[in-house]
Amino acid sequence: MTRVRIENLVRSYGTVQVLKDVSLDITPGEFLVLLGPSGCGKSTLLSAIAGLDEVQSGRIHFDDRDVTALEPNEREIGMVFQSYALYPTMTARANMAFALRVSGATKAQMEERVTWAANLLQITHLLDRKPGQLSGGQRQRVAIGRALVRQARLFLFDEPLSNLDAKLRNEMRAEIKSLHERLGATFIFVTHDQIEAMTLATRVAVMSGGIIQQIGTPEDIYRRPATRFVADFVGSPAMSFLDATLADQTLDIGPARIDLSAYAFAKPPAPGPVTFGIRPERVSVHPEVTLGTHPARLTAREPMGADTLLWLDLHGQRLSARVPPEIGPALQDTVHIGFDPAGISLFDPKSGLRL
Amino acid sequence: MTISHRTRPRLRPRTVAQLVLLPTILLTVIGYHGSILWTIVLSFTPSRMLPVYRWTGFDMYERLLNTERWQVAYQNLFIFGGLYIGFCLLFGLVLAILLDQGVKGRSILQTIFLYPIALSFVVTGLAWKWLLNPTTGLQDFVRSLGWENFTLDLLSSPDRAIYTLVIAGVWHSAGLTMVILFAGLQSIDHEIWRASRVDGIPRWRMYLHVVIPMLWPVVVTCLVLLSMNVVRSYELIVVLTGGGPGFSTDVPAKFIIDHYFARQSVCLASAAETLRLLTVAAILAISALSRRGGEAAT
Amino acid sequence: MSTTRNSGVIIGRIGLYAFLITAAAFFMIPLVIVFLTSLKDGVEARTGSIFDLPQSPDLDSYVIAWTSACIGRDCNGISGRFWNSITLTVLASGLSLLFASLNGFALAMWNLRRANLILAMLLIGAFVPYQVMIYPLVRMFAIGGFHQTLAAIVTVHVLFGLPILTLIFRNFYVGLPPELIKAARVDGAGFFQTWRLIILPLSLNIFIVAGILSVTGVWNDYLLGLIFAGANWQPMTVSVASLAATNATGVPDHAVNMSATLLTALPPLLLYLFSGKYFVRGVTAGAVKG
Repeated sequence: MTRVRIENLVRSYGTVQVLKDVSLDITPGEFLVLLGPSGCGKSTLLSAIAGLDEVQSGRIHFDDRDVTALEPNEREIGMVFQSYALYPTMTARANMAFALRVSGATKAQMEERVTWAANLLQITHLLDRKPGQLSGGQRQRVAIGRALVRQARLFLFDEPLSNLDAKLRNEMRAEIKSLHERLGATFIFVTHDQIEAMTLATRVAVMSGGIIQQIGTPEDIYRRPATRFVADFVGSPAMSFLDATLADQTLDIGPARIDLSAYAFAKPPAPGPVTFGIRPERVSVHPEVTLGTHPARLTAREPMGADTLLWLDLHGQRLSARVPPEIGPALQDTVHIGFDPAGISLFDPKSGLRL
Repeated sequence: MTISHRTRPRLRPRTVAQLVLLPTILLTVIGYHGSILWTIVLSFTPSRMLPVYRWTGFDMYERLLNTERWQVAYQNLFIFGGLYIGFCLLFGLVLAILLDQGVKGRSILQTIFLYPIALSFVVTGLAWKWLLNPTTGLQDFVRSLGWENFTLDLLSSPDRAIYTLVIAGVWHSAGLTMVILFAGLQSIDHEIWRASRVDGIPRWRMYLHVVIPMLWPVVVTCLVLLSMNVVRSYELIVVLTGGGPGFSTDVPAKFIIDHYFARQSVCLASAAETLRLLTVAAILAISALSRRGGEAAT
Repeated sequence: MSTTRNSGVIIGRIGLYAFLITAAAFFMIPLVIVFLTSLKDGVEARTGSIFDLPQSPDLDSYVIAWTSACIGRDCNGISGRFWNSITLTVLASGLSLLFASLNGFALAMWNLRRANLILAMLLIGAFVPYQVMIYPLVRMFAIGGFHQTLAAIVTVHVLFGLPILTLIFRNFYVGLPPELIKAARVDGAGFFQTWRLIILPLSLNIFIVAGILSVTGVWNDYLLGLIFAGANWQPMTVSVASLAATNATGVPDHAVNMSATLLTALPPLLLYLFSGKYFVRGVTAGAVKG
């Protein structure tokens, strides 16, 4: 178990700043997921933690040890790559034992560690095959095995599931999660897939444009997104955003007035224009007028099996609602919608920060 | 259980990568760049057998340009080069297109067309010299068939000896051109052939107006390779004609090597080298421009 | 209608094959007459037509060429020169390939600053005619005291072979996944360990391609051997060229000359016949866009 402390990391390629003063404190035994779209700097951050990429300034500490200048192998890490990066000419066994071999371990030590990791991952029967003779999922296991053999206290995963098909991905996801529980080591996992982030992480760091937008538990990230970017990026179907005007304890979207007395403001609000965000599943749709609803026009229905996504027009602004499938067909063109206060997020339209 | 980690300090792999390149960089800087500079410097001195460092300006160039042997040699570079490159390309293109018509035994034919490239120019020269020798060679053979007055004394004629170089050179290199152009033909999208059949365009017109223009970048590649052979050509001339009769088939490379070592006129040879270097630079510049032009056109 | 078209096609096919067979004959004839002559004896080679079949084909001329033909004053045949060429080729090609592979690996996979500049500096050597550098190199070797030694001839072969070979290896290594190197670094392998244990086993094909280019280049070289090898390490090409020249003074024995010529041609020819596609890739590798 390693505590990872990252202070003011800066990395740029030429004039492009990929990491802009990134700081992060990862507690021992944590499963931290770095989540973000491609080009957000998450892989660069992981490379910097691994020591594969030099940084221009900032420091990286593992526990109390400053590892900023250390080579990757001196950091006692295990790493799993997106393409697995298995050595094509070596058997699975040789791949897994490679790190021990170059560090001068004895045959018995290598055999013991490889057997242990192979048992853990149930790949004992594959050990004498070469990567070319393994399926995608099997390669993935060998790659994880190679990382385990090194007895690292910190494991790094660079989008390890993105090359697998959907079914295998779910399987390996569960496996990595149980591995984390069994090893108790610190895991840092890079992905652009929010489902992976939500299911795996103890904490998620959402990155964009070379900075960490928000770090928190998956629930935090989902329910109280710190910026409009996070709110938009996390959640599928995506949160709807509407222009609104804030007045004391209420909010106006056109003629619709919404009660905000249950909303937890980050700081005392100032009246004026705001961005109103609402998760689709927090929009209730009724055929008739009820208390606290607003009339809206139904423009499209998208049945998705487990539920149905409705596209609505509220005084000229578009939003979506996620409803049980049996509600959809019965609705007329004019419906009445209500907002669950717990699903509301308000953002400053200029800075994008949560209010 | 703990695993012993290597404790002795060692260089970072990237540092090692840089160190690995160091000998090559030194070799390059001294061997190539140093040598080229040295040659250019020597061309401005009156060095005979050993280097002498006294500035004589452009005297050597003046002497060189007034030397008849150099004039012939430099001219031959373009006569030989033009014919060699032209025929290699033409012959190579024709062979490549014919082989592309789905002929039987293609790989055997290709093997036969290409094998001379495995041989040295020394062997090429010796074989052709033997084939063209007037007493028992091709001339004798044709006469024995009944043409009593047939003469093919290419090697002994100052005007025509250069053509033997061209024939032997084309024999040696046409196969390479063919292989490169054939690969180019194969890489052309097969859809265009189907499109041409739908449009009813004859095959020869397709080659002339569509395929050959598409091959332009490959042709430039061949041009560069063949030009390098021309500029370096030495062995073939030494073995086949010895630069003769007289110095009618002399080329710059032979002129230069003779003046460096046999005639001990380092200054003149260096001046000739420098001029040849400028010629190469010009060829490279033109080929770079034409490649860019070809890319812009497509 | 259809019959005239068919006959046109048939005439076309006949013309096509006629041209191809004529071309094949053009390419084959020089080798055939060299081979026929080598099977004759001296008198027959001198008096008969080169196209005559040998009356009593035997390998006597080869034996003479191998053991007792005179090159200058040395009448021990070309066998010694053959072994010279073998030694030179093995040493020069071996060293060139070793350096080229290491260079290519360093240039392609380590994100070194100025890697492209180094490559460009190196590639000047591939385009400049090497005769430009010959005299200064002779002077350098003379100053260093090893002119016309094995070291000198091997050094120049490595020097002139490196640019294009390095380019071939570099272009191959650029195509390998960079994550392999990252994984090796995490595993703690150093530069040479990574090269030897991971990269080298992946490079077999490209070693064959580069090796063919290098071996034929060194074996077929004449000028460098003439100037840098000296008498002790004279390669086969130089001796076979001078064999013809010296015999011209007395009664020339063309059968022996042609035997020696064929022996000189044989190693690259066999390499060509047995390496097939690799050979084509090897000789056209020089044509990669530079």
